[in-house]
Amino acid sequence: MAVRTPLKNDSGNLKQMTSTEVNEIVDQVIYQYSINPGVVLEVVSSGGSLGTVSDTRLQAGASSTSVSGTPSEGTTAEPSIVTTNFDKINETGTAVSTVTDTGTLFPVFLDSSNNIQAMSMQDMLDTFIHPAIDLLVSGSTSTQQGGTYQISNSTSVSGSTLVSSTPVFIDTRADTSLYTSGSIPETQDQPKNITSFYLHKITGSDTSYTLPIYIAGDNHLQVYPESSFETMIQNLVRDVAKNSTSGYSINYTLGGPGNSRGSGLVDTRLDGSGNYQTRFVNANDYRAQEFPNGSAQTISTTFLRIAKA
Amino acid sequence: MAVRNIAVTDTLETFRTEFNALCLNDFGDIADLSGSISATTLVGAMNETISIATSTAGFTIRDSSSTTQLIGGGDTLSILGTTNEIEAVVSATDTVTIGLPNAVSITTSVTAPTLSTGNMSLANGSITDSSGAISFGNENLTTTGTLNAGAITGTSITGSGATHTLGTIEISGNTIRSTDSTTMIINDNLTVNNSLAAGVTTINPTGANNIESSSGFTIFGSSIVLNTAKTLIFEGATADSFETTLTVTDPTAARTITLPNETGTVVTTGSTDVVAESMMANDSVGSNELKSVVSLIIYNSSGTPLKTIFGAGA
Repeated sequence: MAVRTPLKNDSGNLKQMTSTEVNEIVDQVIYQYSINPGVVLEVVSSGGSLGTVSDTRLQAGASSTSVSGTPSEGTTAEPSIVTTNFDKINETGTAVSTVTDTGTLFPVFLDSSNNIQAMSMQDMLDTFIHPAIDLLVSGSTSTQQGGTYQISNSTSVSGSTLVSSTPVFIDTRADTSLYTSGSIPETQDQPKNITSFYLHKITGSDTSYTLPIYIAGDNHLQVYPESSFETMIQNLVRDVAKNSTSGYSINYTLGGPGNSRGSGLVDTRLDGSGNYQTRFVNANDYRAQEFPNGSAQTISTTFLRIAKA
Repeated sequence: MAVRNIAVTDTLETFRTEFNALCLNDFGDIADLSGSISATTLVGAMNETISIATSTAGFTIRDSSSTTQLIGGGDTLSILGTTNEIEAVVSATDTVTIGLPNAVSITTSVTAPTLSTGNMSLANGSITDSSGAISFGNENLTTTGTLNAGAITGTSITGSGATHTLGTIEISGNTIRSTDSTTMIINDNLTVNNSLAAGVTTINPTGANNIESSSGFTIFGSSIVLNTAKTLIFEGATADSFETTLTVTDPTAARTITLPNETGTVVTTGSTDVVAESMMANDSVGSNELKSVVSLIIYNSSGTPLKTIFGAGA
């Protein structure tokens, strides 16, 4: 672990950056990640790699008929649970560039002997990349988490961009208003959508920062060209986020470890034991059916989680 | 007087004229006969003369070689000088004056303790003295000819006319030149009390300078060597007691200090804040020239030095 203090151009002089300036570079790392994340989520119709979240609801039990008299409640089928699986969030196989330390690729710092040395790969990770990853995987959803994802039950979230208008999860319940005794036998499963959940990507912020000094050709000291520096840190943070073997890759799960992102995928369901209803059609046709009933109860809440892995 | 001869065929008139001429011119007028002669004829006169001469005692003359000559009575003693050597003059009464002519010629020599003369002309052009010195006293010595001398010594040598020549040295007015060369050579020291001008250059001109040139500068056609302990001193813009001296530390080997081909000011150890960046050659300053030198090493990310920068320390 070697957090370095990079050098900057201070009116023609070399000067160590302040911690604020270092943090501003960390923010720029995050912004670079936000415009081209190393770990990308998408919404697919099914088979998403993040796994399945189930939505459950009650449906009416099967109707009973009799020619001699109304079927009793005991002989009438109870309402049952209908389960719908949502596996719509998928992590894409985004290609990232591997960054290799050339010896002079990274910014310089003042060593313990007051000489100038280029930062190593580990220095870069410890100083800029890992702190950025730490912020990216936090539970917040501000610009410092740009490029990561969150779930919302709205299609519009300030500071985020809707990934797809296709919900990644829909909480449904039986629509009890549709069940009437006069229509027995009712269609058993008459649901209604309670809440739809959507995947959003958090938007980053291109904040100002101070370019560090690096060792240019002929071993001259030079202010890092902005485009080159940003390309370098973008490639590096993307590579680390996707391929780190030291616990700094970004990992998304549904209900796994890590920090929750946005709204939880709430599965609610009516908790009634059945609304027993009968129908007399004629002397030879007696019908009974139990409709869904009860209060909505939260059956499960599943969060999109982000963690280092 | 010629022999008179009357030819047989001559006329009587010829005879008369010759006779008269014989009487007048050859025998002479009797009236002209000396009064001491009493004879009235020629024969008588002759006889009387012989008689007188032979009757009177004579005398003998002798020269330095003891050569003698008897002078008898009636004899005539002729005292004759030699042209330009001696002259004799007979005058009354019975006086013979022997002297030197105005122009005297002496074949061999004249010896005299003192010689006073007007003009003196030398036939063979030589005046010598056994003492080796001839003095002209305080007299002026004038010649319109040529004066050849082994040495001329005098307090004042003057001449008249515009041009004088000593051998091939011509003095004309205040100009001296050689008549056979474009080069005048002075083989000894030359001291000039005042200015010596040569071309545009004047040595010891009027004023404070020792040498100056009317061209405004003096060009030396050869190297200038300042002898031991001599320096080059600049008075500067103000003639005062302050000068700038250009000198050298005693060289222990042949040294050459080259002033560059450029306009500028020479920097010395006394200069302050004058060395500009443009005066420094590329790659010319090493770490040893820096005060309280410090180094800054630029390493790559592996710690391998890439560059060392030296600078003056605090």
